[in-house]
Amino acid sequence: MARTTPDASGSDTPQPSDADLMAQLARGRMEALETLVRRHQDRVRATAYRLTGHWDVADDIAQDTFLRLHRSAASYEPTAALSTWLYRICVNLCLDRQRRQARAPVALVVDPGGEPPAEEELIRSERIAAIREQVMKLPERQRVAIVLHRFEGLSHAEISQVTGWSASSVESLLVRAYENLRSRLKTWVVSA
Amino acid sequence: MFGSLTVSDCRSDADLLKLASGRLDPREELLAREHLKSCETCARRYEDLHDTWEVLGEWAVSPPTRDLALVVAAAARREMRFPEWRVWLRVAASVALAAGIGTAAGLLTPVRPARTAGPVSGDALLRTIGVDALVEPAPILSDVFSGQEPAAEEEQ
Repeated sequence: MARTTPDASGSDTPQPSDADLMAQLARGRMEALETLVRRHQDRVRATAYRLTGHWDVADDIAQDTFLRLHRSAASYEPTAALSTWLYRICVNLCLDRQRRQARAPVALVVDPGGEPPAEEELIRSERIAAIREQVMKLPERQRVAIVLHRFEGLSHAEISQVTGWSASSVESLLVRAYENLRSRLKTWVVSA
Repeated sequence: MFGSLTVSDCRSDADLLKLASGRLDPREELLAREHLKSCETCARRYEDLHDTWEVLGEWAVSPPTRDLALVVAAAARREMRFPEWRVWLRVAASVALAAGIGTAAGLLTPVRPARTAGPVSGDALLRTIGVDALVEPAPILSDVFSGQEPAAEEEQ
């Protein structure tokens, strides 16, 4: 039976579920791939960006993630949410790339041009830059855990599914990650 | 297990994290919040986690507006026309073809007979090296055969 998901645009037309789209893709319907990409690209790119610190890299990884999805369409079995599968591919690609490249520390993004920000906005920008920098400085596994937990909203069990780490490892990684960030962002946390 | 905790039980960091991220069911959340009212230590630990959770939430990102759907679909179509295994098959076929051509060329080229030495008679050998060992040592070998040291011409 075809399952459907609500339309993100708010229309009443039922949208095909991820599993339906994967089945269509397995039969060679490329429109299904386009729909899946449009449905999931933002979260895949955001995850890749938060793990790598670069939008260009994040875009490459997102494309690669969806290409792998396409290659595996024929063997896909909807035992877990498609998003779990996408996160797993995306995280692995990010870690592979970082291990290969060992890129230099992330440069802070400077907002080009425009009106000079008000003092409050300036402080907020600094705070966001500090958060970004400290998240990027976390050890690899803590970074993955916190990005999936805090920014992608995954539960401990879902993170465990995505990463293949045990539930107790995930919990301990999360606790350490939050502690580290708490101490490194002390100024911002206290004054927030 | 969190579910078996009572109001008076202290909460683990992992449980407090679930509370801060809103991942406790309403009953567990109620019990946990009741506990925090009476336990200063847990309340402080929870505040730390909660504040960190809140400040991290400010890092919102908005991916570029570029739509990847068409790019990915085009790349996927390319892959279907030239899948990876097909590329490797072509490489393997090229190598096999080159090896085949090489082997065929080797087989078809006329082979010249190898130049081997025939049996050598004693006379021929002696003529070749210019020594008549049966008569007298050749001058050049006389010192060797006589067991004497060669004359030290250099000293003269």
